[in-house]
Amino acid sequence: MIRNEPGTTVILTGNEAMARGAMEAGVQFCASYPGSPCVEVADVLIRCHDRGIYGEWSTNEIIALEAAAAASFSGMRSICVMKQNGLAVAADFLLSLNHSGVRGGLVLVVGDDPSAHSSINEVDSRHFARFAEIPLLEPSTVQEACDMTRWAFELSEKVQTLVIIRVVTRICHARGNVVLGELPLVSEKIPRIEPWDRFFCVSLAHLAVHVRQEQAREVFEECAFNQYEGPEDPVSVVVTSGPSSLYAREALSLLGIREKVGILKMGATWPVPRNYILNHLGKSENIIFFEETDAFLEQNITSVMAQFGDRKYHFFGQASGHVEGERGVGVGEMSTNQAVKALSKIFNIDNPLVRPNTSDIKEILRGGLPERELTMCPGCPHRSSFWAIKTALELDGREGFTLGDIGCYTLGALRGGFYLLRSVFCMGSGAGLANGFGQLHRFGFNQPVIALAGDSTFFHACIPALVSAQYNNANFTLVILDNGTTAMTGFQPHAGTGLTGQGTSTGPLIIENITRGLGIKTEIADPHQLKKTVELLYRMLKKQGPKVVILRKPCSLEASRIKRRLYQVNPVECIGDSCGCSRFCSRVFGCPAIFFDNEKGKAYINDLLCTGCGACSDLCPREAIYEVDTNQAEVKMA
Amino acid sequence: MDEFARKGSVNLKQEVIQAGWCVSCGLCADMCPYIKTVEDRIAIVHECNADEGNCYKVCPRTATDYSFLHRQIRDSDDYDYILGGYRKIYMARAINNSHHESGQYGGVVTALTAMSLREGLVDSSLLTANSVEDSRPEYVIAMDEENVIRAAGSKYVVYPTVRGLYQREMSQKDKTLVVGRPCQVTGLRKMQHYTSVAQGKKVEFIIGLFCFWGLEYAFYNYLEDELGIHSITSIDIPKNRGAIIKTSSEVHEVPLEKVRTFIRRGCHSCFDPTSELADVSVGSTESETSWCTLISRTEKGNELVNKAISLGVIEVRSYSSELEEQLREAVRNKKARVLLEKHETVSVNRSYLRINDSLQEKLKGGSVS
Repeated sequence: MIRNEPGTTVILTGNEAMARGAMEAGVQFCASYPGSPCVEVADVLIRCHDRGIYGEWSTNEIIALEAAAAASFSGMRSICVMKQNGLAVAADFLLSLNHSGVRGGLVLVVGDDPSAHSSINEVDSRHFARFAEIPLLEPSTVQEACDMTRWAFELSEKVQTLVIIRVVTRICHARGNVVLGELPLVSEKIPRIEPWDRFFCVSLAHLAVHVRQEQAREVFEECAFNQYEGPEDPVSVVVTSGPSSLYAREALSLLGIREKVGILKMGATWPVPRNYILNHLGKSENIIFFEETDAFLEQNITSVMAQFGDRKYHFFGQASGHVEGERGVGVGEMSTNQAVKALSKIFNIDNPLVRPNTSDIKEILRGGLPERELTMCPGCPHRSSFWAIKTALELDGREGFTLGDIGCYTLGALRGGFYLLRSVFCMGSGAGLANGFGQLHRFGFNQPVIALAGDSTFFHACIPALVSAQYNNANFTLVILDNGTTAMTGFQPHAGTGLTGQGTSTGPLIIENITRGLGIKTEIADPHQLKKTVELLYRMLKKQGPKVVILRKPCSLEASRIKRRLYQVNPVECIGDSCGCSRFCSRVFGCPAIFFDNEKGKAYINDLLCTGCGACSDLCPREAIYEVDTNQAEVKMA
Repeated sequence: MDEFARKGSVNLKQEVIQAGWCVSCGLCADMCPYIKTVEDRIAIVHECNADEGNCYKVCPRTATDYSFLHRQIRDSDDYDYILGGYRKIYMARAINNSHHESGQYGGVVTALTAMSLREGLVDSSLLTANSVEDSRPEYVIAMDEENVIRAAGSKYVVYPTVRGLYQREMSQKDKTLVVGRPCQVTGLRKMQHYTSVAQGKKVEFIIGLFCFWGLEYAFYNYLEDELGIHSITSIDIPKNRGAIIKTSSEVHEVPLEKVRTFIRRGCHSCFDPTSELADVSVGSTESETSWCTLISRTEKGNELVNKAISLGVIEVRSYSSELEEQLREAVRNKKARVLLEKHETVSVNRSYLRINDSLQEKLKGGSVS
């Protein structure tokens, strides 16, 4: 994808396509905090330093946007990438940056996650574009993801404000043909702040925000990313954006009404190009909206039609209840099926061919597919950490509880983490909430509070919470689950790893130096050493004030790549159901590498899955689980 | 016993742990992966799904019939309703100086344990020592005299020592001697007579200590956090004094009334201050600090004491009737308090006791001052 062969067709993911589009626009600066589904946009660009691009994993999204804005102020084209929750983190800067405007093209890619496949919510971040009065683009194919990104830089420079590209999981992770454009020569222009350059957010600039928005609208009136297909002067038109436009097209074909119903596919969706809209919809009667997740187009366009249209229109969408996502009106992803269902309701088509949704697959294949629960990987240090926390809280006996946060360990809300989490919100919210619980003792509250944070989450959002805790002497224990990487989004490095995104070594920031530097009592343990970890947690829970416990062990996926150890069950020592352990290792501890063989009546470990953490070996009451000498095993295999 | 049918960890949690009667003996702790311990705390971490469990059967605070268990360990039926069954009661002290000096009140426990290992009567012994790190109780699996001496001296803070039976170091040993508090002795006997748990069969000798109460671990927190006493090297509670706390450079005394506020709640319900079900019981005497009270109870215990005397490990004197009366009075009062469920500040539980009416009446007649 970094070949300079214009006109060649290659297969790219939507994320790669956006990275390619940015390169074709000559982007030189990329800042991001990793977040699904769009993490690879930055992942690719950050690795392209030999193409004259500086890319970094910033510590959080607001810093990423600020860094990218600085490059723009200096005249460079820059890009910032984040998921929808990250945009909320960056929102304070976003809603002031729109006042100053930008100089070099600044594009903000926001990955939304309808159905929340790997997110805590399915926030529709398009509202931020309207909120900040800045241009919004929505690609509906992988090719468009590339083309729109390239064009977004031009647009940004033309209207002198940043541009949001809103993508969804089905674009980010889809693969499609992309016809490559030309890669420009690496710019040799030296970035510079001129003597009279000033960048301010002041209320006086509010008018300028409106003016730039109006300029963007004028550009959008002629924008090639808004396309109409279908009959001339249609009675009915589907207005749609993103992948929903593909579902709409397919659904109309399936129902045999493709020739009758028009599709207005919107790519440039805010500010609303009202003349373009009126041209295409003004003479129609039925206007149907397909989009994910909120009724964003629906509300904006019905408002335009109400103000400027010259007749009464029938609107079909979320408000009318005709269009729903897979999980309800305005909830979950759209699909061809949902489009078929909606259209057949609107056009009174009986018994349409409705194919099963992905969410129905389990029903259909009942018995054919084994149940798979959401849980941590084999050997995951988080499983041991959760068991240690559960044990320590039970030993403490004061009904202490655990506040969750964002990372793989969010799974601790489920069986894999023994249902331990009592709250999950945004990055850093565990430590933040703990600040409040930590003051309730004066009202008689006596439950110990544990807040969790991953190492990357710690740097992202927990440090101000700890400062506040130390300042106000809040009673809680922050447990930092330090697996040495940003595991959930694909092993991006962070400040604690000592490696930058570009692979240079900067020396790791030591978490305990930071927390101890704040004056907070800090202890460290290896979570797989359960006994010691339990004792440490138990003692820390007894202490007053803020405390930090770092449970440090590399992510098992990383660890198993480096050195492979292996454990097995001794079939003589394991006595199955006569033990009295009630299948503790496979049933309760729940490591996916451990199984119970119902025929033999014994536990066994799958040697392909076992990462050799050894936690189960400590927990087995009969010491039936032992480490295999893998050197010997290899010799045997040879 | 039928009373154990369909009773397991859920019941243990409700009836003993959550109810506050757990005495931290350690019989259930680490017996299975579901019951864990730190310091003096025992917790059932997760439900095991078994509706009947050994954890419930071995607990000294679930249904316990002292006279029945007494019949299991002694041939005779001569249950003394105050001191339990016994063969002989002595004044005793160790002859070896190192036992004498390291131990309290005569060093007899240290001497008997060291002899049992030396003479090959057992392979190992399970004792409670003060840790080198922070001078807090921990279990020690001692195989030689040096480690036995390390465990010498009274511990006033309770610790679930018996969990040591389930540890890796112990699993290879065939015969072991356990030194324990009365609750631990009771639990071990329940294990031997109500379950087929392998560890119970390995216990060859039980030396039981006299114990009128034990302190909660919170006592250490009080010493450290409120009195600022750190690096404690020893704690002793001599007759008619408070707790004498020594560090490497200082000596502090905590008044007895204050110390008593840290008595573990479950200890107030203890019906057995003299380890009635042990092979041999050892405790302080009211008069002389360099001698102790030694009671041989079982045939095995009797042989152990005789061997120790004949090998010159301990020396004994006869126990005066005056001393015996003092001891009986103290024990009777303790038992009566439990039966009458009478304590000034703390609730007392006798529901676990299976005791016949005539014994109850005899004991209730005792003074309850």
